[in-house]
Amino acid sequence: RRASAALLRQLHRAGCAASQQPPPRRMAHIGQNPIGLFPNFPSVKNPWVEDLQQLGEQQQFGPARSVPVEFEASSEDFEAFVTPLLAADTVPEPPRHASYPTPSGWSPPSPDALAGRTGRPYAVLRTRNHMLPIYYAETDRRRTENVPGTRRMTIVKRIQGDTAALAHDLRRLLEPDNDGPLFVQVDDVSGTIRIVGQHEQRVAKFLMDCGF
Amino acid sequence: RANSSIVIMSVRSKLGLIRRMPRIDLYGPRATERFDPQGERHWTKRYQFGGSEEWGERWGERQSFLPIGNHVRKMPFYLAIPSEPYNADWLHRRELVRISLLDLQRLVDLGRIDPSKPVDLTDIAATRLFPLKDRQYGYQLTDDAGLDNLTARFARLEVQHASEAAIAAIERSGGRIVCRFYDLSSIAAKSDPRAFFATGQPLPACKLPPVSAIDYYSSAESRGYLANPADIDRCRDELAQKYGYSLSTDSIKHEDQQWEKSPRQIFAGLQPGSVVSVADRLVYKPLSADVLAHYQRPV
Repeated sequence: RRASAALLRQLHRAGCAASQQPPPRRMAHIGQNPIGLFPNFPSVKNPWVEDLQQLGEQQQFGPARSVPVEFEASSEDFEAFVTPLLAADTVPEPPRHASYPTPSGWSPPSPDALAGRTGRPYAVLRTRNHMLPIYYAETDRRRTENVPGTRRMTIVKRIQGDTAALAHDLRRLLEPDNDGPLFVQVDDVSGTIRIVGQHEQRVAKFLMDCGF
Repeated sequence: RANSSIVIMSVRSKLGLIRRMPRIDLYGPRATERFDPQGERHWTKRYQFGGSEEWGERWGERQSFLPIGNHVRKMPFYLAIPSEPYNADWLHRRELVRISLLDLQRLVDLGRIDPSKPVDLTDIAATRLFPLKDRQYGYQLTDDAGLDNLTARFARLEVQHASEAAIAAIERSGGRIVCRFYDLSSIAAKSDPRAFFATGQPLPACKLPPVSAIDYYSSAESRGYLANPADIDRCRDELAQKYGYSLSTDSIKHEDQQWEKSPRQIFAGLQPGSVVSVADRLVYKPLSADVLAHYQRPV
C-alpha cells in the first residue's frame, strides 16, 4: 500500500508537471455518476489506471451546474407591495389631534414651552419619540448601604437651565407625601435628576402642567 | 416424555400466542401453565439465601447478592443522580414580546402605525420601540393596560398571540384581529425587510406552527389564521355578548383582497420564492412549475 501511495504521488507530480496546472482536488459530487465524470476510473479490468493522467485539459470542476428557472420581473408589484415595507429611518411628527390628551393620555408640549416662555428657569425637552424623559431604574442596596432590598429611583433627563431649581420644585412636590426624607441627586452637567422612590406619575403630571 | 399430540397442541397454542403478542420475545410463549414463575428466580443469584439488606456487610457470601444497583454503605447510583427535567423543553418554548393595548393606542396617537391599513409584525418592529431579539417569535397583545382607552379601529391587526380581553377590545372598537404564526426565518425576513432584501434570498415559505400550537392557531376563539371564517364570525358574536358590547354594523371593507396573506406568504402581495431587488426596484417572480410547487406547497 505504501508503495502504491508513493507511486501515486509520483504520478500526481508527473501529471502536474506535464500539464503545468495545479492538481485538481478530488471532491464528491452527490448525485453525479463518478464513472461518467471520470471516464478512466479504476475498474476491475484495469485497477491501476490513474485517471489523473487521462484528464489533460478536461474541465472537471467548473461552476456549479445551475438549473435555469423561468421568471418574470414586475415593477408594479415592487411599487405596490415593497415600498410600504421599506420603512423611513426617522420618527414622524405626531399628527394633529382635535383635543388633548389623546385616547392614550399623550399631550404635546405647549407652544409656550416650545418657545421658552414657561416662566420657569429650566426646560425639560421631549425625547426623540415625543415622550417625557422620565425613567425608572433600580439598584441593589446591599453594595452601598449593606441592607437587603432594592433602591427604586425616578430619573428625569434632558433638563436644560437651572437644574437645581427643578430639583427644588420636585422636592416641594414630593417630600410632603414621602415616607421619610426624599433623596434627590442633581447632575447639572448631564441635566439629570435622580429621586429615590417611584414617583413617575406625579413628576409626569407636574411637567405636563408646566407645559413641557 | 411428551405425547406427540400434546406437543402439537402446545405448538399450536404458542403460535396463536405469538400472533396475539404485541412484541415478540422469549418469555411470551412461556406464559403457560408449564411456565414456572419461580423459574426465573431460581436461576438468579440475587434472591437467594442472604440476599437482603441486613446481609449488606456480608454481601456476596453464599452467592447472596443485593438487588442490582445497590451498593453497600453507599447511596446507589440510580438514586444519587437526580433528575430535574423542568426545563428540558426550553428549546421548544417560544417567547413573544409583550405589547399592550395602551402601547398600541399610543403608537396610533403618535402616528407610528396606521390602523386604516393592515398592521402586522413588520409595522410594529419598524417603530424600533419593540425590538425582536434572537428566538423571539413575534408579539403578544396583552390587556394589562389600555383596555378602556382603545379607540383605534384596526382594519387588520395581526399579532402572534392575544388574550381574550384584548381581542374583545379590538373588536369592540370595530376592528379585526388575526393571530398568525411565523417561523424564525420568516421572523428574520419580516422584522427587517430592507436587510433581508439586501441578502438576495428568495422570500421564504412560512412553515406551519409546531404541534403544540396548531390547536391555538386553528381555533376561532383565538382568531387563528388557520381557523374557519364562519366560526370566527360566530365567535365574534359570542365574545360581544360575553363582554357586553355590540359589533359595528358596517363591516370593514376589504376592498383589497390582495392584502390578505396565504399561510405560506409572509408579505402581502409578494409570493414566496420571489426575489426582491431594491437596487433595480423589481420583484423577480419564478414561473417554473417545480419552483412554484415547492414554495407554494399546500398547508
